[in-house]
Amino acid sequence: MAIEGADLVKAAACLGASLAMGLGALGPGIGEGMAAAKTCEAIGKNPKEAGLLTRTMLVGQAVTESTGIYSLVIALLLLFVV
Amino acid sequence: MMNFDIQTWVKVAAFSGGGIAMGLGAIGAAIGEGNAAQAANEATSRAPEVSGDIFKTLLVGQAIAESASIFALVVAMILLFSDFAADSMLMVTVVISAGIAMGLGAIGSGVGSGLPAGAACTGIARQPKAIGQITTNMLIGSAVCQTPSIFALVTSFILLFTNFSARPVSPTWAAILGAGFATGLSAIGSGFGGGLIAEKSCEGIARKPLSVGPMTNVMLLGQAVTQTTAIYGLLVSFILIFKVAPESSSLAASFALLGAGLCIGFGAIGPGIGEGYTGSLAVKWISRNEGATADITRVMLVGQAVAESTGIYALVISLVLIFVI
Amino acid sequence: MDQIRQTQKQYCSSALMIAIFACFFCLLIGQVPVGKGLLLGTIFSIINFILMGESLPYRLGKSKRKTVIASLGSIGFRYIILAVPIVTAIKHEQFNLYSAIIGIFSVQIVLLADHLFTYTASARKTARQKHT
Repeated sequence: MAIEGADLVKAAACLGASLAMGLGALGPGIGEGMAAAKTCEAIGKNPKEAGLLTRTMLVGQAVTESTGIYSLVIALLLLFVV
Repeated sequence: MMNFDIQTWVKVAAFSGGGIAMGLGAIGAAIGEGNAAQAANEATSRAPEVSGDIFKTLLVGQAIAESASIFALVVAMILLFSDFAADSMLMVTVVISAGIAMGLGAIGSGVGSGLPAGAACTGIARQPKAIGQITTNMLIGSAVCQTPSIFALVTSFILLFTNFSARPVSPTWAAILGAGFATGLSAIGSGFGGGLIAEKSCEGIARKPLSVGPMTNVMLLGQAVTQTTAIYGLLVSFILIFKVAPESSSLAASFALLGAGLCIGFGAIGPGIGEGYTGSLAVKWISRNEGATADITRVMLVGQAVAESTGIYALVISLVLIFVI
Repeated sequence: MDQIRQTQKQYCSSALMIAIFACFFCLLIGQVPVGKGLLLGTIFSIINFILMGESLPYRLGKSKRKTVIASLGSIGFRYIILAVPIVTAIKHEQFNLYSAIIGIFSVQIVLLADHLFTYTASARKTARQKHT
């Protein structure tokens, strides 16, 4: 099996993309779960503010999500541009 | 020369695969059992008069919590003592991958299902009369925790009993290895997350034995959402196993398939743990404020759905790696 | 410790009864290896469950690290025993491997079935009470 430069680069890009997205999903996944968990706790303490708390949770989660989207962008760049 | 040695290589690989499966599986179960025994210990010192009930619950809980590592034992014994047809080098990756899938897959379930066992012992010390409800809830919760390890067992068996000899060696070795990683790694998060939810639900029932109905329902709902990431892993490994990849000598084709498995494997850990944490606090606060059950359940599902999105990104990248690259 | 004995007796005897009946049924329909494997697995499942109860006192009253190590030791010892039916079934044609694998989970299956039955029964009872 002859391994050429271009092939090696493509293989490394595939592996890199998978690790970027795989490991990149760890942080936001746990973080968004924690945000939602604390929102559940807050609603348990103060059910009247459920609407406000849900909105705040979604904004916080959207910001947390951004790192996951960065990983997704990098993975797609590695797969289709490199 | 290489052809002559395949038999030996397969034997060596089967021994390593068996070792990985048994070692990782036993460690997960030991941590889970250790935690449960520790909780039982504290519970008996707090309420010595019900120590018999506490030990009984610990025993029953451990029997279920151990099933993940018994799955690992089964796969390890099959790997160590069966004779595998050594007709191609693919068999080497098959046996290693089966060991990896089962070993990694048993960790999360082992550690996770130890948590409700411990919480049930603490709960019985607090509310000895509710032993029936607590034990039943603990058993249902830990049984659901075992599903990711059942996925791992299924993947290992399919890997071992599928005939790969007609497939081209070059990309297929990576697909087989990727399938093992996909199911094994993705089972860690779901198993542990499901355990977190079951733990808080046992604690909540000890606090309010009358609200066992809504508590068990919300626990099962949260656990079901938590299992979805493990299902993504199982899906990707089925595609990797059953899709016949065309022969190609390029390294990129192989690494794309291996990468697909690693991507969904790692990508499923985070959402699994995160969703489990969400579910655990939701169940905990339902037990303290039952009037807000509807609101809390809705927010739990919304929050879990958002946390799931990163797992879906990982699934998308995996599918792109398999079908587009 | 008396309650542990009681629990073990209850679940082990029903697991053994079910296994013996299933074994007879398999013998009747001519699947001899399946029945034998199931019985073999069940016997070792029961031995494992009893040993688990016996090892409980050694794991209590210690620090967290020591409990984990003691659990690992107990698992290692019990799994060597639990491996016997699987290896026997792999090596000997007269025991079916898959039924032996089902057999080593028989105590767990009986346990879960018992509790699921009481759970659904009580859920149905409360639903009927709400209805009336």
